[in-house]
Amino acid sequence: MKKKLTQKKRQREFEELFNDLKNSDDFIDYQLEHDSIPLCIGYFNSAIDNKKIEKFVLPYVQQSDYSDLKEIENVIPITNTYLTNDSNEIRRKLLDGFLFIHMGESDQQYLLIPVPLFKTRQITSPEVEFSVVGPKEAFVESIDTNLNLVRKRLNIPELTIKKLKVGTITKTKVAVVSIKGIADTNNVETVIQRIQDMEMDQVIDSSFIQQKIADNTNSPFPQLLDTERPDRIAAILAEGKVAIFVDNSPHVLIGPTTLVEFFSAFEDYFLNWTIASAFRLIRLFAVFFSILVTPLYVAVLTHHFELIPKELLGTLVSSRSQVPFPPILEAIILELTIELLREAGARLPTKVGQTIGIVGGIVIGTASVEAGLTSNVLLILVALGALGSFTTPVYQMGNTIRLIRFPLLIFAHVYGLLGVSICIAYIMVHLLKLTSLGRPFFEPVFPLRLKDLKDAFIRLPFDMQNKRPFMVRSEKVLRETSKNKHDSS
Amino acid sequence: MIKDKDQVPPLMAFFLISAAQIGVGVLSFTSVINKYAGHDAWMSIIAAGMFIHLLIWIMYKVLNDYKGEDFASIHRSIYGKWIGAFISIVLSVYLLLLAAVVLRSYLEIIQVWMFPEVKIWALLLLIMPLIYYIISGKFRIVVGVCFLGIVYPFVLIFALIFPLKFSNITNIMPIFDHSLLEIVQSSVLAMFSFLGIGALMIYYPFIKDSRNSQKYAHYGNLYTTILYVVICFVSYIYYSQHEIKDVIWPTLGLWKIVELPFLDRFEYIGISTLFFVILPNLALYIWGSSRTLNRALHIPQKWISIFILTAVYFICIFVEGREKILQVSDFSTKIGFGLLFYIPVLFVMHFISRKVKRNAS
Repeated sequence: MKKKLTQKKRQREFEELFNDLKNSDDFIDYQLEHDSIPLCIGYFNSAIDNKKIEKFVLPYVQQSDYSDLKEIENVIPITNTYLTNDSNEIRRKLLDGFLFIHMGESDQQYLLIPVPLFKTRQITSPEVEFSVVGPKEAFVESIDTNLNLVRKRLNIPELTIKKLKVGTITKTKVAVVSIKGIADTNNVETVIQRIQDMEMDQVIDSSFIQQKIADNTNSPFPQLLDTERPDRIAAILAEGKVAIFVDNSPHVLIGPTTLVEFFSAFEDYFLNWTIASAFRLIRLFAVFFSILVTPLYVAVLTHHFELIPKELLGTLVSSRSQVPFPPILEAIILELTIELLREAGARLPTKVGQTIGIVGGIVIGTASVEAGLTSNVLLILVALGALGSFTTPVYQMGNTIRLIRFPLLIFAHVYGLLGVSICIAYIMVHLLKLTSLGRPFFEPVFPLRLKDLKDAFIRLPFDMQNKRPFMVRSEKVLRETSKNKHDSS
Repeated sequence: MIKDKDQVPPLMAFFLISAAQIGVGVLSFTSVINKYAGHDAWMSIIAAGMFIHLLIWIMYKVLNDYKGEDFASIHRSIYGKWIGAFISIVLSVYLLLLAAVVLRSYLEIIQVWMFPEVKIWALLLLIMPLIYYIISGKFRIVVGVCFLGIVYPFVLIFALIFPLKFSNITNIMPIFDHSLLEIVQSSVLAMFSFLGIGALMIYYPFIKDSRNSQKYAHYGNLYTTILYVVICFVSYIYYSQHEIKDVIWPTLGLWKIVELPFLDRFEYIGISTLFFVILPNLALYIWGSSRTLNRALHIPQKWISIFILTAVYFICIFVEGREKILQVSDFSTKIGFGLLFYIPVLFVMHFISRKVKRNAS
């Protein structure tokens, strides 16, 4: 009696399940009969690989001898098949790219066979963080491929991957990767905790997670580094940091991170340390130049003419003599033009974008100087400043640098050099307050850690990099090489 | 007890001490301290620096005996609740006044050298939120500002190379032309430039392993002394004693002759950079003032700091003109001097109270 009841209940469940599934037009189910055994096959057409069904499922179902599902399971040359009668399980697995085979009306068992469709693009060379020397692999949209790219570089059992699912609708796969025994467990737990606490219905890209778990979500400064280079991830994991992989995103997040890390290109490690350090310094100089050049121009020309030596003043005045606007207006017009060009270039296809760049850069620039709308000195400065902002290796930091120029411009206009000082003070204090996964963002400048300066503004030779950065609080501070292993034993 | 996470490493005592000492005074002290000792006044700075070393030593002596306690709680335990609270209030009013004086003097320089027409109230509306932004965070942020306030303006020291070209060493010859008494008299004046070390008694518990920070505190004071001596030395060989008498801000004059192919009138850059020197002063004093009131009266620090910032804002607006600024600054230095000499008194009181307590138990 009881058995019959549960059977009825189950039947109702399955009817419900099928009604639900049939709501979506890409659900396919059909009957077929083999040796007078009625079979029912069902799957989501958009989740499975048709070729696999044609090759590995249908021939065996149609040709071999069997009398129940168990025997079918044995003949089909696919692993990870299993039998179940749980309707929820079936529903979930169908969405993951399984097909089910059901035999007759009476049998309650369903055979689930995985035939998912994997379509990702090929692994290509990195586009955002391109380097002339060094590996040429970049992450793609599949999390499994990405994890594999890292696993192949860090072939050690200590590499631990913690998988999570986030997003109430998207159920995106997220993997938190770290090296056990090197990474600080606190950091790993913080990351996992924050990702689990995230309340979001959709996680489309890793940047969603970045915005959601950052320490200060209102700051224009990115507090987690993102990269598309598997080699960089491998190096950074070995440093004791934590990486966050998100399915369907070719960018992997890294934390905790510091401000100076955003100005180090991974190529710095492929070059000799003297050259790499010089490049890094040039990059930092470019960034300061890019942030300060137009505000200083506005400050000096609006308030402090006296600052400029007589000879130079002549050049400046003659270039500005035709310009009808005050310096601030002139600067803002030019800065906005550059931003406009950049934005237009970024939204257009590559070839058109280049044309826009040439038209904008050369034609508009020359024409506006000739028309007397801007001075050519400022045009040079703004163009150089824009160039400087593109030297930042991390795209997101480049955006920040372009943005913080504008408040500086306004402060410079109102209070001249003093205004620039005040605005820089605001930015500095903001940077002092920022943290990345609870670790100070402005390190190693403040808190001052002289030992971490070995890989900040300059990159010292590998011989001197025998300690992991202090700020990640690695459980093993000393990098273990065969030599110092020998020393300690 | 201060949480481990909010504490700063002992090394930071260096920056806290010297950032509290160095302020707008660097621009003007050279023409003040030579009143008695004339061109020998640079020796007075060394004497004043030595005296401050002694005071720092005394403060550490007292503070080390009270584990993790600060000005307010030490005074409560020595004098009892009421007198202790009163002295704490005096200290915090003094720090408030000091912050106002520093800010107002800086604004005066801005008015005189950069923007004669500047609206003080509007400029302050930009600066006050910045200070609130600093002290609303943890103490770590205040220390960070002190750190930047020492490191970043350090580049200004290179500007002192330029005046050497126009200077004359005979201006400070002969050395020891003045009596010891005159040098000591001048060193009393020089001590005004070293004020602000009293804040140590407030932030002491925030320093990790604070006992060990003593040497860094002394280094900090040493750094200030050396910096002052260097500035003083360059000023005295550049200006003759007749000239410097009439100059209010001699250091600005030193900057003025800096000449680079792309830059004249370096003092504009100097004054702007000086903002990073006075910022730690302001942040530290106002933080210290609000912290002391908070400890003595148990009002949330957030409200006290807003109140103090408002007070500083209005003091700066209402004190207008050189005469009034000097009056207020004289008044605050008098309290400051009182507190400076109060430190040895505290030392004695501390030992008496300890004796009394020991006898009682």
